[in-house]
Amino acid sequence: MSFWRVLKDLKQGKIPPVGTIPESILDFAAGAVSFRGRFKTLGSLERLLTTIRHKEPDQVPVTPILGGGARQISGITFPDHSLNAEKTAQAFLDGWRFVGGDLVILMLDLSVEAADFGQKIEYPANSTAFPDYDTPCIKDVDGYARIPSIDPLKTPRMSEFLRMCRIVVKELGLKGNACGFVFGPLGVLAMMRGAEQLFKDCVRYPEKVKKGCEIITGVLIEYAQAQCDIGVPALAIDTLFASRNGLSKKLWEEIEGPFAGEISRAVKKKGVLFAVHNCGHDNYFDAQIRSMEPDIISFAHLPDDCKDRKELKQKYGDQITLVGYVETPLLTHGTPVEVMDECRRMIDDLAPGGGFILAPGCEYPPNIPLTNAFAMIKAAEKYS
Amino acid sequence: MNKTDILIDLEQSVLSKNPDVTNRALQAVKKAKCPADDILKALTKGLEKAREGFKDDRYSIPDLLLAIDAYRLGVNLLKTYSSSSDVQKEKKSRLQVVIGVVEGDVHDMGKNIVAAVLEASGYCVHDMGRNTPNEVFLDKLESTKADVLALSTMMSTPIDNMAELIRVVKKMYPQTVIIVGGAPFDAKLARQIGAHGYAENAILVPEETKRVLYTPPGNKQLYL
Repeated sequence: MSFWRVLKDLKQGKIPPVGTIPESILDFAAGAVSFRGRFKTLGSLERLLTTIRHKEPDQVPVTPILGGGARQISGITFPDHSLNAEKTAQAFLDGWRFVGGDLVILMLDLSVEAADFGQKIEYPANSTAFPDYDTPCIKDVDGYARIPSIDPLKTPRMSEFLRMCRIVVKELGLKGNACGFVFGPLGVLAMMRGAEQLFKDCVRYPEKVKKGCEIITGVLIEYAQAQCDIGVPALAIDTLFASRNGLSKKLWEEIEGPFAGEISRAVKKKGVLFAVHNCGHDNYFDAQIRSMEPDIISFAHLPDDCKDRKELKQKYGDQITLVGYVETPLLTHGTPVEVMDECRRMIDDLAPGGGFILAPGCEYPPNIPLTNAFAMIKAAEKYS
Repeated sequence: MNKTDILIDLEQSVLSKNPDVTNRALQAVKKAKCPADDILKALTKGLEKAREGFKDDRYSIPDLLLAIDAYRLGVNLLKTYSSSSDVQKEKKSRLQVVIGVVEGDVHDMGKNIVAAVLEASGYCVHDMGRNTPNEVFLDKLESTKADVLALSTMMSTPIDNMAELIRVVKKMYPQTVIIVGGAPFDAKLARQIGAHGYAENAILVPEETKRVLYTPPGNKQLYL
């Protein structure tokens, strides 16, 4: 990307795709911003740029990952949060304005893609949407090959998500960073087949599952690229099953790894930062890095090959930006002081040298008070 | 092959990840007229090996699920060995567990694993399924006078509802011990909502159930 194109994007209030800017320029800019951060408060964009280039910003960037939680601020229902672009966008923006943070992760519920592939979804009034597992749309192993290829720009939920994404990106402009989101191919299949049956199929009929992954991946690539075209500076894929909660490492690398890699390459081609979100236990950082070469990993628990945070930082801290990982139970039962203490410990261990964004391990629990989201923002300001 | 070898084959077949292999092993034990108790022991040993394998990282969740399927194939065969009144009588003599995913959640894989490992550990398990209303749990507790209520959710949104159920159960059925599990929990949150026990994953539930059941009454709270 030319210097003039970067300037043009910035002038239009758009974040230029950082992947298209030469590394040397990014490093120079990050170094200069990091230096400026010693004396001045940085903006969210500057903070993110600095930390992903593994330099220290003025304070640790933070995101409370307010998905359904932000509904409480806007006063919208769970079904509207899943289905109505304007209202969902409003909730994300209200969450960002009211609670704060440097990154708005556009994580809705996990049923967006599966719904458009034909899976019946329940939209309860007081909880996040989920599939109706009594009527899985993949009924037998031959069903993987029968998944229809669909156009995400035209299907109801993905197109609505894209519309929401457009509103958020436009409103944030250069003041905040939006992160797009797709559920990985195996995750989508789990919604359509039921996780238990899918897991067994992965062992017994891997080729049939791969066929399903292939069809889903084609659609996810278009969907992810459409989010990139809208102007998200980063996009996350959820690869939950690359963990002890899912498949063995070997089986994950055989079945989902190559497809997740294709999605990663398609996103990077657009110059957009590629992130992995995985809230599973003992998640396989090494396998996911091999398959997807992500810039960022958001996690809820230590990876399977690290015994503590220091080892995590030492092993992966210079390759990727770590996003995490205040645990959901602590956010649910902890006092703000306890949450802030945990954030301080994480900042101490993971923030030195940059490459760290403070966040919950997964979406902020949607039905609890937002007090602990504020505690995280406060901790980032206070302890950096 | 003698009966011992046939039973060892059956035990191994639980770990084979292939229902055809288990079916063949079951046909062999049937043909050899192995006693029902020995068959159940072999199946249980196979499943226990899978559980141990998961604990020390040799097995993954899909392997465990396939082992559970094999175990269930065998248990279904055993049902044809005894009259239904004998089965009912034998079931009633075991410790009773009511298990389910609470209302507001449909993720039941963890619950299914727990139900199977508890059954293989000798409990009589009443599986109430997923997205189960509180009244359904209460009705079942009333009819079974269960010793254990095991509740699960993978989402944080049903926790308030689960806490309410626990409050009612403790009042109405004080003899029933309550164990919870699922992604949004840790021991502290489990204790906060009134549970007596908490297992970090489905595999550890038998140990935790035993701990809670055999802790003296009045001292059943969770230790952190």
